[in-house]
Amino acid sequence: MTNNSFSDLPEYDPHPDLWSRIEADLTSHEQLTKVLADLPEYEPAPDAWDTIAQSLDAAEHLIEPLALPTRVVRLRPWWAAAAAVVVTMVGVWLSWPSKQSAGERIEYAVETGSVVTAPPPFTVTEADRRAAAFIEQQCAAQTVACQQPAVHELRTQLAELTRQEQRLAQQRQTFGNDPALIRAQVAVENQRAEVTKELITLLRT
Amino acid sequence: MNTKVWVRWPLPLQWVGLVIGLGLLVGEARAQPTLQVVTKVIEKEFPYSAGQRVRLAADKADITIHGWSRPLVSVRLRLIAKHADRAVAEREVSYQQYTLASTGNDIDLSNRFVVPRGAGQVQSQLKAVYEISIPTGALLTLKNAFGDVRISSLTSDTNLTFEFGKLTLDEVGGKLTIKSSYGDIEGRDVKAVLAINAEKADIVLRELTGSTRIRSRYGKLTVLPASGLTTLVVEAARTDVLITPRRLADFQYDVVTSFSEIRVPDALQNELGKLGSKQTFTYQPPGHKPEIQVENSYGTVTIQTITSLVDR
Repeated sequence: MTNNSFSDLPEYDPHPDLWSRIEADLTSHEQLTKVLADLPEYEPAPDAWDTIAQSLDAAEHLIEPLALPTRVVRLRPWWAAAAAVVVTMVGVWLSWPSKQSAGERIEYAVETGSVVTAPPPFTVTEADRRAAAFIEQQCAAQTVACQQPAVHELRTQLAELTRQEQRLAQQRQTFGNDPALIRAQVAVENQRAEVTKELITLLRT
Repeated sequence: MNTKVWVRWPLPLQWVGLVIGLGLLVGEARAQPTLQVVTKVIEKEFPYSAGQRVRLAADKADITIHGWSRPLVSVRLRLIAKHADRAVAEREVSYQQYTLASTGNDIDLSNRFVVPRGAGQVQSQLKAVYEISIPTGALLTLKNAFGDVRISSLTSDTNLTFEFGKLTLDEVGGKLTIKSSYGDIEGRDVKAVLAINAEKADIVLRELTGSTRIRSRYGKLTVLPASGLTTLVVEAARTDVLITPRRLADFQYDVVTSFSEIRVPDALQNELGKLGSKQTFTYQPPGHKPEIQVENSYGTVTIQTITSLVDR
């Protein structure tokens, strides 16, 4: 090939914007390098791993990705669990820098299969009404039996249990079907049943 | 477009079954109810100086307090809201407020529920969970309702008041005062100057030593005294009391009941007495033994060795 053959080569003009594009690339690279050095550094909280481990434990109840619309992304359960863990980690990480100074952060998780279903309401049954009526009646009719110290004490107890029940009913107005409140109400109801039975036995004899 | 080449036809029956089975499983998983759990986590540490009292005023909280050897009070408080709809849980988690502050004499820790006016009934399950470490010798005052409390490895002066829920004590010493209504108590290795005032509580104290005074109305009380017990005084009413020493002769007994029965092993039937509506049991084995004193009405008192419990 001789020098003359160069003239045979086809000629191409560069794109008119090429230089400005290269320059923009260079500038942004330079700026990025500068800004990178100024970026703040964040240490994760000392128990970051504990938190993650805990959220993994919590993931025993199958965790599904939170923000993703499930209809679009149909993930298999194990992928869903893995993704949820990632989402949780990202969530935890995101909430760190801004709130770390207050020592406060928000964590998200999903629990499966532990929804508290509403228990049957604690309604006063026909039998309860009959028991109360029986006690009233007996005490109206045979005042002597009703003056026994034991009966007197049990009736005081019954009144106290009624007060507790009202208080719990009030709490449930605010907190609804809270498991702790339901347990408490069951304890009071059982105690009430016991006292009522004992009272009726005493008044019958 | 050639994917059909990869499908063997007809499909073996097992594969069809597997596919249907998997489909059902996935459907099942989807049908399960899910709860969105939003947790606000607060972590704080306070330097502890001797004589400071840690005051915890909790509500609807599960609490773990553990004694450690560092001069620090470390608190992790988790405020939790659970609801099927994350937006609801997120909004309602903020109904929970807290204070974690050191005021010089005291270290004040508390949580409360503040429902804005007009917000109506809370829809989420709200709960607070404390994980606290304090120096073993720190003074502690705790109040709680509707939650479980676990306390371990404390040796100083502890004052606990709670309603409903359960209190678990493990290796607690020093001076320990407990007031419970409807709150059950389970203690192991408590060696303290212990005072319990309980109503409608089930109480179980294993390996109990030290000196203990228990007042109980409407409940159940089981005590397994160990050899380091110096005194046990029970003033009960309508409480079923069970005392289970390793050997009967390790203690002397003074038991009185009204309108109820005392049950003792056959060998000691002769020590039972009766006076009107009262029953008594007095037994003094040779040597000077620590005294167990029980008074009860309308509730039985049973004294039984551990072995006889096992043999039954």
